[in-house]
Amino acid sequence: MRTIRSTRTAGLTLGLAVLAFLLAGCSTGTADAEVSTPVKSEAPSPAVTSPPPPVVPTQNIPLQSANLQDLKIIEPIEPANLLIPDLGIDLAATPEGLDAEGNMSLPKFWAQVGWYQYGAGLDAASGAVILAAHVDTTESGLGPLVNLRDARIGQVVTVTGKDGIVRNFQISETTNVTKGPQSLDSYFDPNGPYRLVLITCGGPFDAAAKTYIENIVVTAVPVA
Amino acid sequence: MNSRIVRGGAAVAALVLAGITLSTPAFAADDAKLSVVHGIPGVTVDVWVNGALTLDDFAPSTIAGPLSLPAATYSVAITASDATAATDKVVLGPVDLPLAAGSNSTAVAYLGTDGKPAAKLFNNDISNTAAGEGRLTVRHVANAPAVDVLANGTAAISGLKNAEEKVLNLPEGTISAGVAAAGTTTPVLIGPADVPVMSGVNTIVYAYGSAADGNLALAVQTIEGLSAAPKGVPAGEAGLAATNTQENAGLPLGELAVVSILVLGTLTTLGVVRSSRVRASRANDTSAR
Repeated sequence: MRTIRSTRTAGLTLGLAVLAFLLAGCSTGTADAEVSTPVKSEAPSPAVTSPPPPVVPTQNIPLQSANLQDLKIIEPIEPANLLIPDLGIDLAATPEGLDAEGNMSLPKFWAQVGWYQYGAGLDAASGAVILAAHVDTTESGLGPLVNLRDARIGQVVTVTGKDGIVRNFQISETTNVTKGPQSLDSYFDPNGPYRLVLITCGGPFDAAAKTYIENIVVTAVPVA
Repeated sequence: MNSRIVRGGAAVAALVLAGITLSTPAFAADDAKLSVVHGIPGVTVDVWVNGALTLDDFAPSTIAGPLSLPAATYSVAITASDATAATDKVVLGPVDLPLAAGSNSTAVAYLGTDGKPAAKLFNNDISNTAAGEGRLTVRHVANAPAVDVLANGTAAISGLKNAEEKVLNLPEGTISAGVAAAGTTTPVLIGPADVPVMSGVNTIVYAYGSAADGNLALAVQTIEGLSAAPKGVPAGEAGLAATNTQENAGLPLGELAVVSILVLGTLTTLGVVRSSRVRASRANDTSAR
């Protein structure tokens, strides 16, 4: 996923200091808050004429250049390999997007795991790194991701990036999600904390529709 | 197209001087989000909110925010950067900005077609983008006649006037964007410049400045995290990992188990009967001996 990382600078300390003066002025009702504008000393304090009403804590207001040329494009860190020793899973990763129906596309065979390129990359500030693969295919039979149904909280998941760096995660949640509209939305949420989400199929199989009724979803959080 | 974007360039000093005076508690879940864009060339200003200096020495082509603010109407004044109060050396305002709960908006200081500073509150579209798509918002905030916005050389938006905006949802990619007078493709007044369309991101492009002064330019704001999930993840096709059996795919697991127990039970009963008969016959045989 292309994301934006901004150069931001802070005036938080100053802001809070000012706030303290303002609050002091508020509680005493005196004109002591005269010092509440240390940078613009010529500015009159709101406490001079009357005690100020309650004050919203000053926020760190991010400031950044809006110049188009200050937007710099860099590549996300793509996963290259997924390794879960406890489950006998060791698969190469490859970027995937969407199929014609709007589903996440997957590698044709289970020997590779797909990385959702519209989700987070490794070391992202937020969002899920999504890795998904077939549990089985008609041509190649049953794949190793069948073992995701035996995943247990605390097991270690190792993802190596295309940058060569090995990153460890620990399984924090395993669940079967009944397929349906929006059933995976929370796992794909780009706004949640940085995490790893592994997805395959499982549960009962609808032979007529040639589809599993459920997705097996395993969430793992980064290990420091 | 899975690149990221880093906003670089010279660091801009943020200076937050005073709290915004209100009577309601801060940081409610349905706070309004407000950004401020400075689109008036050549003038560094101070921004005062409800009479308090909030942005000091705010430079052109700079974005401040987003701030989380309780829903309310805020009085905003823009003054010269050496003003001593919201009412001193006023460039613009004070104007009332009504911020609705849960809204996401951008207040833009810009030039009207009369060449005078103006302010407008734009509501930012933060609805989900389809998986794999991004959003491009174009805002005409320049002292210039109506324009066409060219994407890769052809008009993607036609006849956009000062203080107007247009929103496009587009597949992820990069657009070579230019601005020309309405109905024309040349000369290109601004650009062409590469504008990224990123999955789950509303890229808001401001055409600002003054045609007469020859300082038309583009400013960019981005709002991330809008991406919808794919429709699904169909990750199996053979039924080899099924928790039911393919022959009885329609039969719930519980019923299968009951059937199995019944069948087994019947067989066992028959077996017991049969073996007892055998034993009985043997007994008979024995007694016969």
